[in-house]
Amino acid sequence: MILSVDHVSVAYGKLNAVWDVSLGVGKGEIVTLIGANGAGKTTLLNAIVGLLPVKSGAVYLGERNITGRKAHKLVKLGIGYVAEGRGMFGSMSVLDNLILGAYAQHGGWTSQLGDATWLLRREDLKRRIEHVYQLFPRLTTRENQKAGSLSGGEQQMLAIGRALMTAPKLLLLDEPSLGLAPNLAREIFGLLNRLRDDGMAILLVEQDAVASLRIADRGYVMEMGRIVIEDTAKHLINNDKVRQAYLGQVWGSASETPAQEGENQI
Amino acid sequence: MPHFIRGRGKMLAIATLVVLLSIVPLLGNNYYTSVLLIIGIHAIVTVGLCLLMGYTGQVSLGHAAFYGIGAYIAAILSKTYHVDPWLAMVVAIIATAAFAFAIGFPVFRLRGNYLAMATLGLGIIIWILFRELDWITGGQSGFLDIPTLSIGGFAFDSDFRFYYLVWGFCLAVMFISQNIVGSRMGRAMRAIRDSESASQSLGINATLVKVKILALSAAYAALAGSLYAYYVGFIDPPPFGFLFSIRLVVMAVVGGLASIWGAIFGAASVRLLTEFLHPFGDIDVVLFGLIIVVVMILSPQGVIRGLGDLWRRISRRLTPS
Repeated sequence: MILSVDHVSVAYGKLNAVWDVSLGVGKGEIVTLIGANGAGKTTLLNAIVGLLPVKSGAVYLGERNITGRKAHKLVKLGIGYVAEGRGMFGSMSVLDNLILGAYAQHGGWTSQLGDATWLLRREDLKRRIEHVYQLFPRLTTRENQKAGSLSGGEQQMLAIGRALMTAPKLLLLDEPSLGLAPNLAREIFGLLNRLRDDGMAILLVEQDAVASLRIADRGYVMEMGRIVIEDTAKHLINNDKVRQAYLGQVWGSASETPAQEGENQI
Repeated sequence: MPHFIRGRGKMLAIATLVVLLSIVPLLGNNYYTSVLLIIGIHAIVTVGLCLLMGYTGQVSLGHAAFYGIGAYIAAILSKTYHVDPWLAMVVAIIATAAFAFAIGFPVFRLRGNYLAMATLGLGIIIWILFRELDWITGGQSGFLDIPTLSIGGFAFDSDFRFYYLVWGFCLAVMFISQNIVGSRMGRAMRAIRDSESASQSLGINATLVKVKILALSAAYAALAGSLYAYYVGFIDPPPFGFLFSIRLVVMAVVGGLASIWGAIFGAASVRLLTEFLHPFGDIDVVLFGLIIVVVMILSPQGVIRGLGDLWRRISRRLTPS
């Protein structure tokens, strides 16, 4: 397992939002976490990446216990995070957003000198940026545009591209398809597939349960801060309870098309 | 080419500024020289505030405190303890920056309005200390006979001489700041302003960056404060109070929060306005409030940028398409 979450609880003050959750993500695997609004999915992600404190339990990256480490230190260990709402640096250009993605890779004292060192590491930066542009050709033409002026889909691509600049082993994504047109969402999911094939471990939180179960290898269903079902994606997609609660298949019909469209329009 | 002089227009503007500034004292009118000198001192503080508020997105309503701490440390060391004024100035800058660095960690646990309140409170506390610790600071009756700066036998004892000293420092501060803004640090600052949590998940230690910038801006304020003390030769608490903190924010806003060179314009506008409104007492504060509101509505990026946009719009309309 690249990521192991071991009996983790997370609280906001006295209010527990995540109860005793355990899950794992292996190399070259997409694991999805589905559940209704307020089930604690985002809270769990924020705790894994160190933006929220873990109340009890432990988080491991490989063999290393990373519980309680600050977010900015986890990046170097190989965790990339695409937060809900994308977290664009809206006043900065697409290129600057990408350059910031590589911030952690050059954190030595020399980096404090400013522009001189930026020239030194330019080759390496260029290679990474080229890689992101290959994955998202659309960003190339937007290079000098302000990130805030991009469309929703482009912003999502930039958010993922920026996270990839950190060269992560493990990528966590929170609602990457939110607010996107169906074809854009498909494009994003297609990319996740490719990243998985390259060996990346991916933890995907999604409201669009159908789409995420389709590309995922395994899935967890969260309810009221707890994991209630855990299975392979194939089994989950055919699980009656899951279908009823998350796939909109009240009548148990075999066709998934109407549900998928309905979800995408949200 | 270093990025801070990229763009011919900017270079031209800066050259013009430098020439204009160096001509003024030669005209021989002491009043204008002293007004421009004070503008230079205020511009140094304003630049620091722009780095903190405009680029890093962190409000400070207590910056007059750092200005005051710098002034008092420089004054007390050089007068009471007969330390060389230059050395006293360096100590004042380092001590103020260290103080800001230390309080930065608890203060930046707060955000937005709460941060504003905390810095406001801090400014008031420091100001009360200036007033009440009268066995050190001279209290309300002030601190007299502060020595002035000199190099060898050359004393900066006239407005004319001090003017060049102040603007020399001011331009140095501008170039340093412009360089920081264009560096990796500057990118991190803007990232924190736009989205703090996203900046953290890219490996930026947001708290540390914020604290460093607070310390840097406090160092600028202390530099300006000690220059002020040496120039006037006398300090008392009023210039370091709450009203001056607000005035500094007005300077930063008018010049453009995220604009280094705008700070000079902001400091100049506020200072000149204060001069004109002098006969009416403290009414200028009301006007400053109004100015902030108007600038934020009409031209949130500062008056200079606003005028530039206006000019572009007019010239576009005048050229036949």
